[in-house]
Amino acid sequence: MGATLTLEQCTDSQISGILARDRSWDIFIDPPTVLRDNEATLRLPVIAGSDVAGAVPLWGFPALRRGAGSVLLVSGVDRPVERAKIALDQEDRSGRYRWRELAGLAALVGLDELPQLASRLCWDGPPDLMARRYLALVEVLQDAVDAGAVDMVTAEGLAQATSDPETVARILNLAGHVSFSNRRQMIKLFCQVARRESLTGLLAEMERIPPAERLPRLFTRRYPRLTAMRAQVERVQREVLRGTGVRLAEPPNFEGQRFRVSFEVGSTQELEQRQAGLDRLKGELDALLGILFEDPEADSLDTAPGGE
Amino acid sequence: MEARLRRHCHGIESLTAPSERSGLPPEWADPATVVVRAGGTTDFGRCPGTHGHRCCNYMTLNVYAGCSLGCTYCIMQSYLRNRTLEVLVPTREQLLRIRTAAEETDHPPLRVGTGEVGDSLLYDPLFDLSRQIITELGAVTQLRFELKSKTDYVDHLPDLSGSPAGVSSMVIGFSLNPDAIIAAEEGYAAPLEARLAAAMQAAQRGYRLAFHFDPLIRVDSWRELYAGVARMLATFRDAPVEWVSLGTMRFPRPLAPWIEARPYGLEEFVSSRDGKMRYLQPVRTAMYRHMQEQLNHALPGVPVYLCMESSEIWRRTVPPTPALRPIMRPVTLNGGLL
Repeated sequence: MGATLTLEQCTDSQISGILARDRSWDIFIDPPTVLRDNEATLRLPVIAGSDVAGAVPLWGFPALRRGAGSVLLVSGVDRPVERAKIALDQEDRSGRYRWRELAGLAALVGLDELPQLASRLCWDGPPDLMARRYLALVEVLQDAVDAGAVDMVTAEGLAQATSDPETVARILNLAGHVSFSNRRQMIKLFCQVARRESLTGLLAEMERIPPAERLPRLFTRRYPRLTAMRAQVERVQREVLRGTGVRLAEPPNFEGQRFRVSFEVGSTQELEQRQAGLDRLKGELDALLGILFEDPEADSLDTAPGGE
Repeated sequence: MEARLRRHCHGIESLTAPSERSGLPPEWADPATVVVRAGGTTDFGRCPGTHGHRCCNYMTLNVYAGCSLGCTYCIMQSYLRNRTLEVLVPTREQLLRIRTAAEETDHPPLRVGTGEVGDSLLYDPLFDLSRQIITELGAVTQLRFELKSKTDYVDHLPDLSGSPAGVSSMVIGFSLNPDAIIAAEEGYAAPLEARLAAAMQAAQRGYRLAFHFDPLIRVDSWRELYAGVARMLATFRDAPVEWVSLGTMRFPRPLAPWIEARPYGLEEFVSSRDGKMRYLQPVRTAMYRHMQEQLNHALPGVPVYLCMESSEIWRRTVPPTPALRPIMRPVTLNGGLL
């Protein structure tokens, strides 16, 4: 039997009965108020069943909760995936659905049926695979991903580091105050450093230090050689060239064989300052050039796990 | 060998049409499909090298494009994982072009190989395409034609030990790593000992040899591990080893999530001039110096060169010996670039 759609007028008690009957399809995030009011005039709630008395609400929960008088009754549609198509058509969202909504749909129609909804969901990847990834996360990570606090890849990296919800929450909290990009970087660095060190020790250490120091500290731990090389250049700039107006720059990522030395002059006196700086730099140059080709850390990282 | 071959080829079916991978219907465009077609003009040419890094003037002939060995550091394990295997049957025109290029090159020998986009020998026992190359080009004295592999599949190759010159122009190149790395990171590739045994077998059957330490991976005790492999090469001191190449671990940035998931991915990688991620320059320098030292002991006089490295590192790690000249000179024919 094909689907039939009829417009029905419902009393308040009928609406209450419909809402009380089954809330399982109440999975879509409520739209913002301004959209919701507009929505109410454009699209009617949809209920599924042979008659109003026994119908299950499919879509339009906000309007139903407000006591909408008119509803669309769809009959002849029993398979959850077909009902989901109707709900998604009615939702007709232009933007992407939330992770939680995707998981809600998966629970209703089954993960294996989700690909049938792909064209309506507009996700970048196969919806069943995306839902599986989301559902594999602990709840605190699901919430973070759903809220957009972290992306899925970062969340999965964190999930690999620990499955303990409390520890996950503490790690997320470490990066609670920073931008999305910095949070992503912090969590990624934390997880990578934790593979070399004790996770609990690292977490406790990060919680002890001021929030602003966490990202630089993690970067130093993750990239000790690079940090040491940068520190050598910064030391020369700070201690040798301070006040001379001479700027020293290493080649990008220390790839190359030359440093860039630059300055500007506006007077004879300034030129003399620069010259004095260059004279002092001469004494440091061999050591500076040495760091481009001599490993500052030697093999000190060889205590790290290298094989499986 | 047959059992391992069957494992590599499990589930692979062949399709005779359409003739190009891009023309495959979607349901066939997966790793279980083998596309067999004749090699085209674009399948032979200069190794693309990499921007801002020194070229080793190698020519490539694509014969097997794709690989199912499953090395964790390989580009094909990530965003190319769904590619089909392409078998590009060498044509007489291609082989004639290689012969002509070798005979007319200004700085012989011309170096050509088939291992750029796939393992030269992994599927060769099935398709036997190297036989045709060996038959056509094995006696071209100004040529060094390399079949590069991480397998020990040399049984099927013809015996060339009776050839008039005693040794042919054919080179079997073996990519090497310490066994610990092979076991952890090189999938179905043959163990080190098996590769070296195959190398000895190839040498005894009239083939020249090459060895490639690429990628050199910085793991725990890397110095000792790689020194151990280098020492094993001393048994080839009297064999015709044409060259040894070195290349440290590198990868395009999009591959980072896969690499960082591996233990060796926790090393410090930075973006180089070509955009690829590499170990820090001093780390690479230390690795190359160490390998040079070890290889000089094991295989004195054999040219050792770097793959996709900067001139700065070359200058500091590779002594400019006469043996390196054929490798470092641009390939020219009658004065013009090939």
